[in-house]
This record gives sequence, structure tokens and C-alpha cells, in this order.
Amino acid sequence: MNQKAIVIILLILLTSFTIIGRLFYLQILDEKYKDLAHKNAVKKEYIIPERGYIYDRHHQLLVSNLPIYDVMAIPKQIKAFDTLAFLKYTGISKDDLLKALKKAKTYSRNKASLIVPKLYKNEVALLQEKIYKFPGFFIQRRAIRQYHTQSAANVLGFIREVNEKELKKDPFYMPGDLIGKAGVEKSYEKILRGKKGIRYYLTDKFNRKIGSYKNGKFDTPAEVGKDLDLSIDIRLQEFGDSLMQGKRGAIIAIEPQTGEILALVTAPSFPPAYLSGRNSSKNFNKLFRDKVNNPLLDRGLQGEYPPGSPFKMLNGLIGLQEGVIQPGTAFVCNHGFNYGRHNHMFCHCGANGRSVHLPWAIERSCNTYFSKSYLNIINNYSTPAEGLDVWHNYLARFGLGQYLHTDLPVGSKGFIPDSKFYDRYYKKGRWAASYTISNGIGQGEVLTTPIQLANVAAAIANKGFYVTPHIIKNIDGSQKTVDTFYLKPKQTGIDPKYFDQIIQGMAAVYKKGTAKYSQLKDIELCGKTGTSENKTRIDGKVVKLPDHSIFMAFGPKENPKIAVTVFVENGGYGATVAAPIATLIIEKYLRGKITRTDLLNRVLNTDLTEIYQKKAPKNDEKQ
Amino acid sequence: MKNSRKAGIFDYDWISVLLFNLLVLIGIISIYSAAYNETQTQVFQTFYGKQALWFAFSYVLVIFISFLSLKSIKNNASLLYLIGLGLLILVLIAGANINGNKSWFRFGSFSIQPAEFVKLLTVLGLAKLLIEPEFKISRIKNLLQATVLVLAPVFFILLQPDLGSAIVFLSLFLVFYRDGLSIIYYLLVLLIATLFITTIYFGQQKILLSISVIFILVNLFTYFKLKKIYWLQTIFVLFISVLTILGTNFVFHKILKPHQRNRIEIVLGKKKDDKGTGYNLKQALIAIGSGGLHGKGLLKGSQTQGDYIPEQHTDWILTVIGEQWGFLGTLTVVLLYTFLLIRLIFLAERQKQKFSRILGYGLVAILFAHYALNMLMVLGLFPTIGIPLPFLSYGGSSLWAFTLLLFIFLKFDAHRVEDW
Repeated sequence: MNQKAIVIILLILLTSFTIIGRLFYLQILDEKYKDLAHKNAVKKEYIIPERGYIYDRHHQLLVSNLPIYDVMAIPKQIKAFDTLAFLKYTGISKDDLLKALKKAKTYSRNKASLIVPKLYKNEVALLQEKIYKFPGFFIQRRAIRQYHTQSAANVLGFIREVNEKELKKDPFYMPGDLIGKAGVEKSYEKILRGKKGIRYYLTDKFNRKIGSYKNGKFDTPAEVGKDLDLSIDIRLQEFGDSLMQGKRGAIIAIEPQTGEILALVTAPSFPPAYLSGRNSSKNFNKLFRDKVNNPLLDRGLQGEYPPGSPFKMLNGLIGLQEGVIQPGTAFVCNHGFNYGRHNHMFCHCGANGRSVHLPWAIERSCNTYFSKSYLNIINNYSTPAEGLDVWHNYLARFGLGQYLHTDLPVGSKGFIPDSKFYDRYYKKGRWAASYTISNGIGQGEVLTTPIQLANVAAAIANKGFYVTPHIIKNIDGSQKTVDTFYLKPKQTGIDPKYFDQIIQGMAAVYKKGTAKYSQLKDIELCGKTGTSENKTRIDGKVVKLPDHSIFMAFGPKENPKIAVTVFVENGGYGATVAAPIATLIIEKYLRGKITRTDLLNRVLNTDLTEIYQKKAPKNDEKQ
Repeated sequence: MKNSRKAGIFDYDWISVLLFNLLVLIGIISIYSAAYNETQTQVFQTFYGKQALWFAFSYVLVIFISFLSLKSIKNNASLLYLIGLGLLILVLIAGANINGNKSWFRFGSFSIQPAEFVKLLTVLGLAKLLIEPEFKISRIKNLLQATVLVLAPVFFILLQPDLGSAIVFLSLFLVFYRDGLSIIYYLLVLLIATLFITTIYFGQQKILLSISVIFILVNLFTYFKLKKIYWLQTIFVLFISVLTILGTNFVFHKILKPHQRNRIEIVLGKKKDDKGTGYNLKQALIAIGSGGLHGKGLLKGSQTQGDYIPEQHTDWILTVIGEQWGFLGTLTVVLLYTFLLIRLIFLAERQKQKFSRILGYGLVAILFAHYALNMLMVLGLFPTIGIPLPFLSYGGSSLWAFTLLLFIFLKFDAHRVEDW
């Protein structure tokens, strides 16, 4: 063959080998291109499952989901569009649109950003039809909570977008996801939220979906959130709300045998829907800033107050268990008694020098009886420190002075002093039982929350045990996955036989004592009034305000079905407001209707707003 | 008459015909996957449907060629060449303006690219010139004549402007080599090209310095070994070298357009521009590289299906093959081209007539230029220019022009022993 032809053939072969070598390098040796292609085209999409519904104890729907629509845009795909029409369809202002578009561009040119949030179905209908006229824009459906009650905002809580901290803490969340921020939405977040699904899909160079990746081989389906049945009775809860109109405070109702919270009313409150929907952020700030009414505070769970008289029964029970008093023990009460060298404990029980027995002491709330019982408990031990710690431990077993660990995300410890506290206060060994005598009558250092008192009422009704109060009844229709902590009874360490006289005394409170006017026909109730003093500073002067009104009750006396604690700020003497409210709650729950309409009217007509306004800090007194 | 039987259509070299068919079929399948669209129901509205149609019509051309008289082709070669130049002028006047290029005649929805056919006509014109009696390519005058013949269409094509097609015409200088032009010319061009690229890459000073060192060393070597100094040659080569080095910056910065500069710099790795000019190349490398050994399968390529590479059905069709069928696919295509080219050289060499041999080498040169430049471009070894892959890339004009060129030569080859 011609030599030059061979040179040309060699040139061709050289070129082909160069090409083959390059192909071999790219396709066989260099692995990075596979990843690059994958990164280019395979995108991951999370499917947000529907959040679980929330029902009350009778399976009445309280919270469901409402579809809501966000208008999104991918800046790179936006072409010139009819701005006026867009504004008309979405109802936002031109400034808002421009601001949103600018923000979207700074965030990412290829990723979708939120332009118009939270449009309802009817508001988005027009835009949905014309969306093809706005390239780069699309409508994304998501869900917000829909509420079927005006009540129980403190129990139900609310959901909001996750914040940075939550994003970091739990990799489950992506920016823009919703998370429970309060109430059961928070404490049962993991159950309600379900499991996100993952879908892989292929995109083209414009980031448009062109199909599933490997026919969905790697996809995982979303799991819908589980439904919750709460223990609350929504009708009782709503009734409680109506009773608390014009008042501040809390009503807590518990089923004693199970610890299920039947009603958890805090006042003032707000409808749960207030923190859902388009104005939720604005509304939240409004509530948050309202330091006068403090509607975000759950007074039933978080409020700490001196318990007053209801605390006396605990001293009676501990005294009996410790053997420092007997069921027949009587103390002489002569408008109180002297203790230490110069001190006197006053008493208004009206015994006037006669001996006082335990039931009578409860009925008349005798300070002498329980102070002496308290002193005997402490002094039964060689040092007051030892005695006080024994006393403290009894109370701890009633759930006092520590978190009760309900299944709601907020709570307070309250306070029950121990020896360390007084050692610090008076110096070690430099104090005696009599220094702490106020503890005997629920004043002094002792602080409890209304739910702790309600739990004490339940423990008395149960004669010695309680189940930690909780709001959950069923998860997904059964108790199987409910934390056993809320199912197991806890013993208080007090022998059941010692409760008889206490209960007898509490029944007498209704029959002939302070709650006489609140008694119910045919249902024997047990109760105990309480009053706690409070003062405030107005214009620099300390002013005494009407007492906080407290009432603890359960009923019926035999086989109790409900235990209640009512707390009304500045409600005055316990029997005036708190007792009727507790009675009405019990009657409503046991009978389903109200026969004591006179009580009902009196409660409904009690409006304490004027007193609260006096208490309100003046605007110029900002901290 | 040496033979009693006249050669017919079945005497065409079957190996070449087979390779041609294989390449076109691979092309149609690749175009099908490149422009796959589930919603498109009308087959002949799709690229692959159209390409199949062009393929079918190319056989009409083959039949048409079989009726052509070889003698009349040879005799009218000069006229055909002039018609070609006429078409190039006409397209500048009456052509449709597509993206600023006047390269196409448009008839309704149908367009045709004259430059593709002018390749054939230029090859014919060149063959006719080279067989002139007394014509010797090594003679400067004749070399200039032939050069002008090749550069005339290049001139008009650059006016369109269509740099890719223009560069392809330069491959016809390969024909001169086979016809007797000294390899010195080619080595000089290679030297200039090398200096041009290295100067861009390393900068003027370094290259001037290295060139000087190389010349001194070469002369010292020849002096001590051969006891002779080639003054004239040294000075000539040195002159050309220095001129190239000094001219590089001017050509690079003043004559080349910014996008052309970018493309050169991207190939040289001096610049990264994955979002702009370098986007196509980057995505092409991803597509080919991600194919691996045996590829992702038909319609399974995420790059291809995601339309990441514009013009993946035309100039960048290799990316589709690379992604879907991997190294085995690309290797097959490279080998098919290589076999076809070598086979055509073999055919060209067995011609008795100089005219048909030159025709054969013209075909080889143009085919080779298309194949090599397209692949090197797609693989990032040559700056991006618009050159389709012959037989494979979508496009009726390109397919028909190559079909005509190939089959006219094959007809000449079939009749090589006849006295036409």
C-alpha cells in the first residue's frame, strides 16, 4: 500500500486511540461523574403526612386538619407576568409581593420560596385556574389545624413552624415543617406528626420533575399521624370555661381511680383557633405581651399558691400514719393556742376552749388541731431536721414539692420545705419545729399548684393511692402504647383506714360546714375550703387584696367518680366562689345537668374584673 | 471493454454500506432517547421520526446516484463546484437568519444547509483540478490554485458565520498530502498550532525562552553529530516560531470572539465556567462519565432524559450514547468510524483512476474531520464548535450530504475496473 496512505491510517488510529483513552478515563477510571449525575438529577422530596386528630374522652372531635394553600415561586423560572392580575387573585399588596420576590431571590434562584402564605381554599380558587399565566409560580397545599371547640386551648396547644433550635435538635424536621409548641400538640408531637415519606424523583435541567427515580425503588411511604383520645370531657371543659367568665384561676377535675384529667380549665383563656391560621403569629404576640391577664399561663398547672386549709388534711393523715395522733385524739382549742415563749397561733374554729376531734377539726378548719398535729410529727424525732424530712417525704409521695410529671409540657414544682431549707435559712441546728408552724395550716413556705391539690383530692378519694394526672386516654384507639407511668397507681404510704375520719370531716364540710350552701341533693360530696391571703403594691403602698378562693372536693363520698380543685384569684372566702364552682362541675359531670341553678346564676354573675384592674400594673410602671 | 458485465448497485462495497447503516441506526435510536417525550404521539413530528424519514429518503438518493453517469459527474465536476460556490453566495443573500447565522435555506417548515452539500461539490471540484494534466501539487503555483479552490467556500462559510463547517473544509489539505505535498508543510502547521496553544497556556515569555533553548540545543546536537549547521532552515523555522508566538496574543485577543476565547481557555483548563460557556461541556462529561462500563440503559439516562445538554440530539449525540450504553457503546461507535475510515482508504487506494481516488480521500478527510473534531470537542479535548457527528447526529442536510458523498464514491469504486 502507498506509504502516505499508511501515514494517514496511522493518524486516524492515533486519533481514535486518543478518543478511546479519554473515554476510558471518563467512563471507567473517574468515578466522580456518577455522583455528579446523581446530584444533578435525583432530588429527594419529603411527603408530610397528615397530622393525627385529637378527640375528647367520648370520641368527640376536637382538632382536625384544614387544607391551606401557599403560593410559591422559583425565581429562575419566573417570566414577566401580569402583576396587577396576580395581586388581584392573591389579595396581597404590591409591596408585599416585591418584598417576597426579593427575599426569594436572595434565598435561592433555583429553589422554591414562599410568596403568599396561607390562603384558604376559596381565596386560592381563582389563582389556581390561572396559574399557568404565571410561570415560575405554583400552589402548594398544606394543612393547618382546625378546631371544633372554643375551649381547651391550654390543653390542645398549637403548632408553629420549627425554629433553628428544634431543627438542630431533631433531624426529622426540615425548615418550614410544623411542630407542636404547647399542650398535647407538644407532648404528643412524635405520635401526632406521623412518619414522613421520602420520594426520589428525577429532574431536568430546569429542576422540573420528569419522573420517579428507579420506579420508586428507594421511596418510603408516609405514615399518617396517630389520633389521640384525650381524657378531658369537652362539655365539662366548656362548662368550666363558662363558669370562669370574669374570673382568673383554674378548675381541675380528675377521675380519681384512673388519674385521667376530666377538665383542665384556666382563665382567662382564648379560643384555640386563635393561634392557627393566617394571623397566628400576630395573635401569639398579642397574647404573649398581655402581661396583665397572662392568658398563656396555665394557672392550673403552673400557678403556685399557698394551699391554705386543704393542706391541713395532709397533716392530719401524716399524724395518724406516724401515730402521733390517734383517730380519737382531741386537742383543746381556745381561739388558738400559745407555743414557744411569746407566740400564739390564732384559730377561728369556734371551739372556745373545748376539745376538738379530727372530723370536726376538718369541718371547722381548726388551726390548733393541725398545728399541734404538725408539731407532734416533727417533734416525734430526736431533731427537728429529721422530723421535718420525714414529713417532707410523706408529702413528696403525694406528689407535692416536685414536678407531678403530667403529660402536658408545662408545670411547676410548688414548694415543700425540708431541713436543708431551714438549715440555710436559720443556720444548721438553730431552729425548732415551732419556727415552721405555718406549714401545719398550709401557709408559710408551702406552695402548691392547683393540679397538685387536685391530685391530693384524688388520693384522699382513693384512700391512699393516686395515678399521676394525665390528659391521654387512648392513642390510636387503644391504651397499649400509653406510657405505663400514667396507668400504674402510686401509693402515698398512708394506711387506707386513716382516710375514713378525714373523708368524714370533708363530708361534714358539705353537710354543715363552710360549703353547706353548695350541697347537692342525693349526692354526698366531700370538700374543703381554703383561703390564701395576697397583697400587692399599688402606687408604692402595700394593699391587701381579697383572698384567693380555693376549694377541693370529690364525690360521691362512696366510690368517688370525680375529684376537683377550684382556684379563683381574689375570689374571697373559699366558700363564696370556689365551692359553688366545684359543686357545679361535679354535678355537671355526675348528672350531666345542673339542678342548682341558683348556684349557677350566682357564679355566672360573679365578675371580678374590677378587682383585677386594680391589680394591673400601670403602663408607666414598665420594668 | 475489459469486463462484459457492468457493475450495479449490489456491487457497492458491502462493508462500507453495512457500517453506514449501523451508524445511522445507532443515531436514530440515540435521537429517539435524546428527544423522548411521552406526550408526543405523532411519530413524524419527533426528531427520531424525522431522522428515520431522512434515512429512508437517503436511499432514494442512493438509487438516484445509481442512475447517474460517472462520466458526466467527472466532466461536470468544475461546474458543480461553481454551483456550490453560487449556493454559498445565495444563502448569504436569501438564507433564513437563524440565531444570527445565515446558513440555511428555508422552504416552509423544511430547511436545508447548503454548506453540507458544498463539501461534496468542493471534493469533486478538487478532484477535477488535481487530475488536470501537468498539475503537480508540489509546485507552488498548483498548490496555490488548489488552496484557493478549498478556501473559497471557507471564505463564504465564514461569512455566515459557521466556524465549524469552515474548519471541516481545511481537512481537504489531507488530500494534498496523499497527492504528493511534502509533510514539511503539515509539520509547520503543527508547529504553529502547538506554539499557539502553548503560548496561550504558558504565556509569551516562557515559550520564547524555551524555543530559544530548544533551537540552541538542536543546533549544537546537529553540529556535533553531523558536523553541520542548517542555517537557512533554522532561521526560517525560528522566524515562523517567533512570528507565531508574538502573533498569538493578537489573534487570541483581537481576532477571536470572547466566546471562542472562553472555549479555548476552558479546554486548556485555564478557566472554569460551568454555568456559562462551559455548561454544555461540563454536563456532557457528566453524562458520558456517569455511563460507566455498560451505561444506564435505554431511556434510563438522567442527564439525557433531564435534557441537561442542549443539542444532545445533534452535535452532542455522543453524550446520549455514552450515558445510555457506557464505554461499550462509545467504544463501538469509535471502532465503527475507525473501520469505516480505514476501509474507505483501502477502497481509495484500489482505484485505478486518480479522480475517484481523490474523491475517496476527500470523503475520508471530511468524514475524519467531523468524527475527530466532534468527539474531541464533546470529550473536552477541543474547543466547542458546531460540528455534527456524521450519520449519527440529527439533521437531514448532514445525513444526505454524507450519503451522497459516500455512495458516489462507492459507485466509482464499484465501477473501478470499468472503462468509463
